[in-house]
Amino acid sequence: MTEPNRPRPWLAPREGRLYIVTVLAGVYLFAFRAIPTPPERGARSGPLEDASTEPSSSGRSPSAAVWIDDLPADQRPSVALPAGWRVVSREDAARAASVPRVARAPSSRRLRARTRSS
Amino acid sequence: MWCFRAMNTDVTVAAPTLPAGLDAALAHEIAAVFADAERRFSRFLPDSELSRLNGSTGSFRASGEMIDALVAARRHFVETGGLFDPAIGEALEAAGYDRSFAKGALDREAPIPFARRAQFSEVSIDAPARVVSRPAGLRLDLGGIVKGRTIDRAAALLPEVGLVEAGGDAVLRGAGPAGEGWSVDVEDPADARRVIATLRVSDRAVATSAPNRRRWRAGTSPAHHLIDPRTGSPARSDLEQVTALGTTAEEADVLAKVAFLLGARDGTRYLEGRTGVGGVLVETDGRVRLVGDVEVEDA
Repeated sequence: MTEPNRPRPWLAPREGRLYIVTVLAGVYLFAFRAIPTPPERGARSGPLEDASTEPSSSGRSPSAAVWIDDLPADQRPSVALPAGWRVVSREDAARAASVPRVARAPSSRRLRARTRSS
Repeated sequence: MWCFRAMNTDVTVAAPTLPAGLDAALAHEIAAVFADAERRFSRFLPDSELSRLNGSTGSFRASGEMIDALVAARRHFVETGGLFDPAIGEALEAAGYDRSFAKGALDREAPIPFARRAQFSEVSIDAPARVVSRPAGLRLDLGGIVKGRTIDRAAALLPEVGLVEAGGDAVLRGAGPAGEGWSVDVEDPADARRVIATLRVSDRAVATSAPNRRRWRAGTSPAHHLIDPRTGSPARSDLEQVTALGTTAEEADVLAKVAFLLGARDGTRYLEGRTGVGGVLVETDGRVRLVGDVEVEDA
């Protein structure tokens, strides 16, 4: 017994599904890039650097980092921080960065002083 | 005992009577005191307050800490007849000391050029208004007292028995770990591995001045950081080193420098004429003079 010789469909069912998935993925990618995401509003809990890049009115690029204490008081964003965290000023940060690292003196060193020119 | 680096030197803090943990906290607190002073008074940090003062034109509004240091410097300038003079900044730079010291880093082929002999009396300090005015070009160097003042400030945080030592200058509080006084080794300026005397010290400060470490080459001549304000050039002395004992590290620092500039004979008289002051003077031929209120441990 032989089957009648039917014309082969343009796309096989499996190839058709692949085609549809590819087209949908393309549409999704296009939409993702083309449609802008609205900015979040209200308090942020992200890194401080984000919180301090708000104003573009001062002439800075919106992506530039600024210290929060460089901003006029009325332009400083409210920053929601986890418990125990605090916002530091530029001066605080510089101070913390420059405090030398303290280490225990070698145990062989005797408890006496040595005077010399420095 | 704890240590850290600050002001381009090693700093040691010891408080043997404090429980473990508290002494570490104390050392961290003292490290912050040094960092704060360095940030304000360094000649080599471009944004330090001293650098901004030296770079300013006209009047400069200073911090309370800067005014206090300048007023103290003025007192030393007057009391030493100008031998202690912070207006040597330009002379130091002319001699080649224009960056943080490192061995060999300041060597140069050119000889030391002539530097204008500025005087601290040309600087006007309005302490209540916190305003400082100085002639254009006059640059201040507070290195002569800032380390001592910082040690004194740090030592105020010590318990009854403790020490703060920074690059050979120290405050020693109390009668030492065993109650018999602190032992202070005086380094031999000709050989840093040797000690020329060990002093017994209680509740006093010690400082040493010598040109043996911060020295470099300018042309064919040796140069060093001890500028003689009378000449505006690195000092020539018949002393190799002076160690002074005083009430505070600031006082000891000034005494040691001035005695070095005065030389063996006049330096001895200068130290002997002061109550509660002692000194160990090392002459260029190696002879050692003990002056005034000094107790030396038996060898």
